[in-house]
Amino acid sequence: MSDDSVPLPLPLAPWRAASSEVTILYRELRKPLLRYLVCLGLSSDEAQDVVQDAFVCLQSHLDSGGGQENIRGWLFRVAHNHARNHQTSYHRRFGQTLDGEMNAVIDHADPERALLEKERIARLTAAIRVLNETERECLLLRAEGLRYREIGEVLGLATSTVGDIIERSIKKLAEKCHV
Amino acid sequence: MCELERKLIAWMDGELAADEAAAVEQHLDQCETCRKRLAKYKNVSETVASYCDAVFVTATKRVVPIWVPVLAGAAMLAGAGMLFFMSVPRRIEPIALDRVPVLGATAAPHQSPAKAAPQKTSQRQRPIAPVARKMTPYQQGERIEIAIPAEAIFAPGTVPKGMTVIAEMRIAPDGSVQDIRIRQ
Repeated sequence: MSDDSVPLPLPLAPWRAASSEVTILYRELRKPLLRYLVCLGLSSDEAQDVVQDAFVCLQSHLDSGGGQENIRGWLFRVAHNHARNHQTSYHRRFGQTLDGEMNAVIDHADPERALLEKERIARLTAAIRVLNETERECLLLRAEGLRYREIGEVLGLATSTVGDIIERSIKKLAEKCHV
Repeated sequence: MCELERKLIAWMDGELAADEAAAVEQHLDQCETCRKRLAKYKNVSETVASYCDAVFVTATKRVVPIWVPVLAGAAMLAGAGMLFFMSVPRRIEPIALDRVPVLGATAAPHQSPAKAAPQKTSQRQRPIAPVARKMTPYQQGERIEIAIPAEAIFAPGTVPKGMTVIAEMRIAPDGSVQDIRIRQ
């Protein structure tokens, strides 16, 4: 900033602070949010729209002096609820085969390991269909790094219930996909 | 089954209180079965993460249809052909002298009666007679073949060696290019 810059007038200062915070959160959470929504079954375009709406809501929330604790959980909850409005496509992609696209995410430095990883994902893709909706959502939110408390806030569940569901889901998958 | 087995996943996720976590760690040091279970749960967690990445890549990957670059290349070729033809001097058919308009005659209806007074012969506009040029008239259906090297249009290496593309087009009497067809 140059020395002759003029500081923002006071009424705009809170807005500027909120806007800067939203920008930081956007950089940090955009991809995890997109990945969660796409894993729920939304198309890429739908997920982009939902993430954009969620951040617009966040801006309004912060502008109106809303609470700033657990913003990550708040954002995921808003995005999750928006995704619910796309119910027609919600189950479309879940559990579909990913044969053609796995090469993009698997490290090819060790071909043997890459093959094993590919097989593991294929088995998990088949096994994940066994889980019910809440179990899948808990696992996906956990995969995006959310704590049990945050997952509970997103899905409207008690933290202890989230722990039980995650434990049950992991054990189911371990049994079904033999990894 | 071990009593602490139920807490392995919560411990792995860092969700246990300090005293509970210490108890699980102590148990893991002693129990081979729980260590194996823990390894299995970690494996499942990593596979779920890989699965999420694969789904994300699938959804966000933009697959460009094969016809898009082909069509783009054909459009570029057609554009280059048009530019080439536009740069060639257009042939002008000789104009018959008896069809040349006389400027004085065409301007007369627009003149007001006051200005339409008889003028001196020296000041009157004289008809302009164009000079008839000796040019070959355009033959309908005449075929002109122009070869443009593919390297001049496409980036090096993008066109297979020996591949030729033929652009056919019709030049309308007004000089415009019509009915462009690209074929291999």
